[in-house]
Amino acid sequence: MAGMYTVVAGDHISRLAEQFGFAKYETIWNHPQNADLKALRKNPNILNPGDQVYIPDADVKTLDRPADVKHSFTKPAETLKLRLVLNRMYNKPYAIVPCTLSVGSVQTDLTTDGNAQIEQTIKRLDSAGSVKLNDQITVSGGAATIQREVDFQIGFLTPLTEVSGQIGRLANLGYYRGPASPPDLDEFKSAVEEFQCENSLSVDGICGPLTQAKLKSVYGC
Amino acid sequence: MANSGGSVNSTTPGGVSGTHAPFEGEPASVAPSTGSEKNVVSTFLVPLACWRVEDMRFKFDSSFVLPAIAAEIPLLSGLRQTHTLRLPGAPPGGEVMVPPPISLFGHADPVGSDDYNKQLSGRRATAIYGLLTRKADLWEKLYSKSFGGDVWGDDSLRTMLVATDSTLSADADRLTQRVGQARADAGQRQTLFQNYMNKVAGSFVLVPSDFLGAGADSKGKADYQGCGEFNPVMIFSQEDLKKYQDSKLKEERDAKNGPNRRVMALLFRPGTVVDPKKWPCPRAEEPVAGCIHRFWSDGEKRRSTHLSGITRKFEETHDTFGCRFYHRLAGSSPCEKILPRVPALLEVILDNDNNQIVDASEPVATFVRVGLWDHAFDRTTGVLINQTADAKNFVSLDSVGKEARRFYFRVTDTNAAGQAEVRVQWRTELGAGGNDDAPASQDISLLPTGDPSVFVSKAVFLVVDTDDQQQATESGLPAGNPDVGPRNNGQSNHRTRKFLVDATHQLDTNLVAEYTSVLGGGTVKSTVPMFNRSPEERLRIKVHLVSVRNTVGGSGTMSAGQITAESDTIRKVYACTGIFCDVDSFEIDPPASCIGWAARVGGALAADPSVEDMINPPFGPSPSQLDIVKVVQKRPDFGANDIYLVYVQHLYATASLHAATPSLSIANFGISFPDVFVPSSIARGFGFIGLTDATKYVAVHEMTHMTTNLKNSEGGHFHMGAANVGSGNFDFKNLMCKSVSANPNGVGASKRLWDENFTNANVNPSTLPAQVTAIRGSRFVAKF
Repeated sequence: MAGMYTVVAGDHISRLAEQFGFAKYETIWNHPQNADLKALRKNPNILNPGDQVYIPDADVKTLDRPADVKHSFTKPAETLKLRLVLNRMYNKPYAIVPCTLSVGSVQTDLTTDGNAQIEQTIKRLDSAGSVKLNDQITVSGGAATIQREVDFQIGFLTPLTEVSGQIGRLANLGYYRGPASPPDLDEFKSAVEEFQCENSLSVDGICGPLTQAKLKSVYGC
Repeated sequence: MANSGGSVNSTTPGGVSGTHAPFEGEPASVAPSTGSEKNVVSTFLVPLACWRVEDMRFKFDSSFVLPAIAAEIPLLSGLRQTHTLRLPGAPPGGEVMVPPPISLFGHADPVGSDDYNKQLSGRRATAIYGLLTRKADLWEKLYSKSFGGDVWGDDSLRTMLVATDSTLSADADRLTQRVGQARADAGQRQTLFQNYMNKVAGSFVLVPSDFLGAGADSKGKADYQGCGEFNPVMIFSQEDLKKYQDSKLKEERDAKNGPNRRVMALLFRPGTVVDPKKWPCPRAEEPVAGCIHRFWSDGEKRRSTHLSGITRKFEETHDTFGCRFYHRLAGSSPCEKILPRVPALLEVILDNDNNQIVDASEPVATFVRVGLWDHAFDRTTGVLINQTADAKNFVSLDSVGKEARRFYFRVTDTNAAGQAEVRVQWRTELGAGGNDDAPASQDISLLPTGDPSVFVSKAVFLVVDTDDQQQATESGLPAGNPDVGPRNNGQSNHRTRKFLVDATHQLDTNLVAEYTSVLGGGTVKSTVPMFNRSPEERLRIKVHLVSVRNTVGGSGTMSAGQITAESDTIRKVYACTGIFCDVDSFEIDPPASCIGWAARVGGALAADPSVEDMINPPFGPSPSQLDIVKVVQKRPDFGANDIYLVYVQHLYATASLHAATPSLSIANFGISFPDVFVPSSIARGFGFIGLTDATKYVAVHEMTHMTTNLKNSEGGHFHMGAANVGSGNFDFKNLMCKSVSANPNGVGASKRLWDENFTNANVNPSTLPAQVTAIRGSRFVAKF
């Protein structure tokens, strides 16, 4: 049944496609009724709670086949991925480091690539997970392994144009250390300025279009 | 992040240490990807603790560190201990201590130019780094390259010479000669610096890898730096600013600006390493540009706005630091406050020479332990020794002849010189924060020593249970003192405090003492951990309470209340050994041999489940005990080095069972199988408790047979009996006395473990090794 859907935290178009029975997120995303939303958000994976999404009628595909032979039908699989870069403040990123990614009930042993990135196919309804990596350190007492763990919530990142989206990215990058909501405005200003300073932007504490653009390129979306 | 609290741990006249509020990051909000999206997630730089050295520990306008900084060194040492992480390391089973890396930040006051102050504050940070790492070459640089008013000169040489050789202070000629030699000879200076550093910082030595940049940069980038005057904690009002333009008031101005002149150490999360190339702060010796680059967009305004009628303080408005980066690191630090300076030193001290005289020379305690009550009772009468004189008071007598468990408070306060007494408040605090035992009055009196500005208390100690806590203690104070005579819990000059040990509070309590100078104003505080945390001395023992069911599928012997009470007793008794007992419980179905006694033998005592007592001699487990052991050993979580205490209703005498007409009689209330008695039995590590018959300390008594693993002609019992020792039910107070079950609750209960050898020529072997030592060395203990 077609209609408008109001986005809540954690929603992204692929998730909605799964919920409403669409093989491809494009069926929703590219629907003419969602043209404004698409123009506004630009990215189907980053919505804002309260956004209105038009959900078309469910896919009905008609295929003609002879009636006396056995046929197999495969639902076309859409690949949704999660890509994380494991960084370390004031130090080199965690490149070529073994780590364990847990998403939903699936655990995968991975190794970060030369750019400290891991990539994993996930299910469209997966909403949370964690990545654990073993950090090899050397101290005066000898060598030891410290386990670092990052918990994450998939689909909760909001658009860059929103303060929550700016805070989300600045927090992930290690600049913002306050609560997501309600935001600590002093800490937000400090985080914006620190980010601007380290990225050769003019430092004014305001996350304007230039800062947003830089934040997008540094953060990755 | 700015106002998240944290707390001050300890204060000294020249410094403070504090713990930052814990930082809990929220889960990262990330986007999934249908295209090229990625999410960069980064670890945070998290300061855990702080240490601040005040201006007064430096020669004025100089980077030369004065000898009195010795009072602040234990604070840094304590913080490092508290925040050290213990991780498994090579070889397998080994352990690596990962300390919290340190970064030092020097700060100047706003008098003088930015450039000058950046250099001076950098030189002060360098001097502290040099002191902590014993890098005499860094001091040589500071000495030989003076900077503005920062001239070490003969003054510093004189100070160092006198500090390292006290005879020189009375011999002006020789001192002058030695100063001349040190001035002329870099080699002599090197030795002098080294000796002085050792004198001042004692055994606390750091290496470059203990710092945030791990010493990777030869000029200390990320390890130590100067912030100049950019981050004042206090900014004069317009009126003060104007007033202090009068050069006659320079001294007053400098004094008022004192809190701004400081060296801060931040201790970061263990394992944090920073690449100096990526570290925002410029090196200590570099100019101000790097600092200004990291300023707030309104940094100039923040650091230099003077308001009319208002002294701006960072702790109130959080907007006086010009440097954003430093603000991000230290903005929530409990050390970045203007603490009222109290020219007094409060220390927790030990009577290390065990002569019961404590004075200015006694060493400072870096940790405390729990009182053993080992000389608390009269050996003839068994009565608690609780009189005024130290030699006749159970607190003062504790652990005489061994490492002291009792401790004392010492205050050094020149302003209090001539006072008849000063008072310190003391209490225990939970490891996670919050009061533990904080009675209505926490006062203890300190009386003057030979030095009228040094005051010491009577001995005090810590206890684990409410019986001990409620025991009145003789104050030990002389006639005429208002608190003379016995004092109760909750009254001033009561000499014990309790600490909580339970499943949650695992020997992580701290002792806290506070002193407010007679001049009023500020309070100095001293926080000392319970038990040595570095190296870690706390240990664990796993104890399982096995509740045998009365029938297959029936209900267990023990009620929930009994399980709690037994666990509690075991944990408390063992707390004095520095061992935390992880106690859990489970039920098992009874083997056939443990039930059906009424049908088999009959009689009023017949109760299920029960077991026959051990076969005696040769001290082996009985068939029904072996049956239970086999059931327990089949459990997947069975631990060969765990203690198993099996609770049944009765332990029946085997003799009466094997009589011509079998009958039931109680043999023992508890028995156990230490390795030393049954070296090859599967029952090693098992104790059996007759729950109906046993009293409070029976189970932990049996457990201790196994953990002490001691054997003599009295069966490993501590109590030798009146016939053997000739006098004394003194030994009844020990947990391992023979008749533990016959003794009452209260302070006189048989619940004490002692840490000294007990010698009695009438038994074989004549010496029983110290119990605490034996337990701590047993196979049942594991790392904390």
